[in-house]
Amino acid sequence: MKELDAETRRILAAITEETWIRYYHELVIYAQRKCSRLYWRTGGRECLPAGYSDPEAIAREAVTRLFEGRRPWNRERYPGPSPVAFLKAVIDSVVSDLVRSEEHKRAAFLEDETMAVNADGEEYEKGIAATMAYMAGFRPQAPVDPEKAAYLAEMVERMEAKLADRPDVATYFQYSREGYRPAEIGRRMGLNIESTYQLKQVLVARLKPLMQELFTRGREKGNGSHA
Amino acid sequence: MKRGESKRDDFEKMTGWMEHTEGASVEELREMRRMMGHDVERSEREFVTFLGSLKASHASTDTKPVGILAVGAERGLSLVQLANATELSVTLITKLDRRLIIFRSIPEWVLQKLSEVLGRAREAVGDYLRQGAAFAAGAEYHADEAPTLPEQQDFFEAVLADKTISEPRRKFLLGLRSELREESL
Repeated sequence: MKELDAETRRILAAITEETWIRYYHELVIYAQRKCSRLYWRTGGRECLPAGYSDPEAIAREAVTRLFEGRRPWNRERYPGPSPVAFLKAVIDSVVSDLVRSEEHKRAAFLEDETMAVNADGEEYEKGIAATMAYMAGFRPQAPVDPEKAAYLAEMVERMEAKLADRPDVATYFQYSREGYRPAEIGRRMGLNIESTYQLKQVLVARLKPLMQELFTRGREKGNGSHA
Repeated sequence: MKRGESKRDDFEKMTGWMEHTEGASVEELREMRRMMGHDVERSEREFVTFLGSLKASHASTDTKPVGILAVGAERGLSLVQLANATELSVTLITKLDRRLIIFRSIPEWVLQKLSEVLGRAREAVGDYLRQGAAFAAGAEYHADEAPTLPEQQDFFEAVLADKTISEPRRKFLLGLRSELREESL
């Protein structure tokens, strides 16, 4: 166990149990999404790093590494009183071990070749010129499980159908699929914070059963278990 | 289309709304986890237990009460260096080390500074300073009567009485008088 620096100690001491619960939910959601994504992108193998029973175990490992100083909190890169962004990077590092492993080479094919992971497990962007010649331009197509691809394509259609009678919510969903943050979506749609929030609430309520199906189907096929 | 969107697969796109959780309420987060098939109540209970044991094991090595001069020495700081690093004085540091200062009169700034310089949790420093007064380390008494400890002193009185402290430092420390710690109440 390494000694934490005074600032990290001060911040950790100030975080209440209630706030930690909130942070923990954020971290588990993040880890679950990462593991589920790997399941959908790989050939139906177990998508948890060795030694981890479920995404919660990955989130707890990240918190433990912070407390024990095994992953020092880089305050310049992750400033502010919340360690969540830093802990998400630790989760990336844990999951990256899985992606880099021999068993998941197929998943690695699909990773963004402009992104790399440094020795601390943190992602950084590297120039395309720095990638190996055989990777640029003529990479083999990533192997895709046809059954999964068909299921996901059908799921997109089912989600869109659920929102067909609400064009505003469908637009919100479209922007979110394109990677926009809620505040950006609100700006693009000319909505205030309250209206944007309400659209998101409707979206969540409408998609809930399909989301449950998406995540639990993945789990049944080897995507981490939550008894 | 947002930059990088083409690299996102169908799963990422469909669950993209789960990505930005910073502003979400705890109830919203719980709902997201229920969608993921998680037993949220059990998870929270287990996490609270886990966090408690993590903090306890961390505290056992990091927050144990410690002597100010002893920890300073461990970190390679002489008494003078320690006084400078904490922006106090040799006299004040010595009094604090012997707990000759009334704990509730010590400003939070001083506790934080000591915590920072000593590399110990603020709570550990507080625990140490809360203890009763002590004799100077290594002091020997040869009188027939049992020695008595000097009475504990208010921090600001000690600053005013300190003949070794520089005037700017004294002024700064006296400026902390308005600061009242919650635990002092």
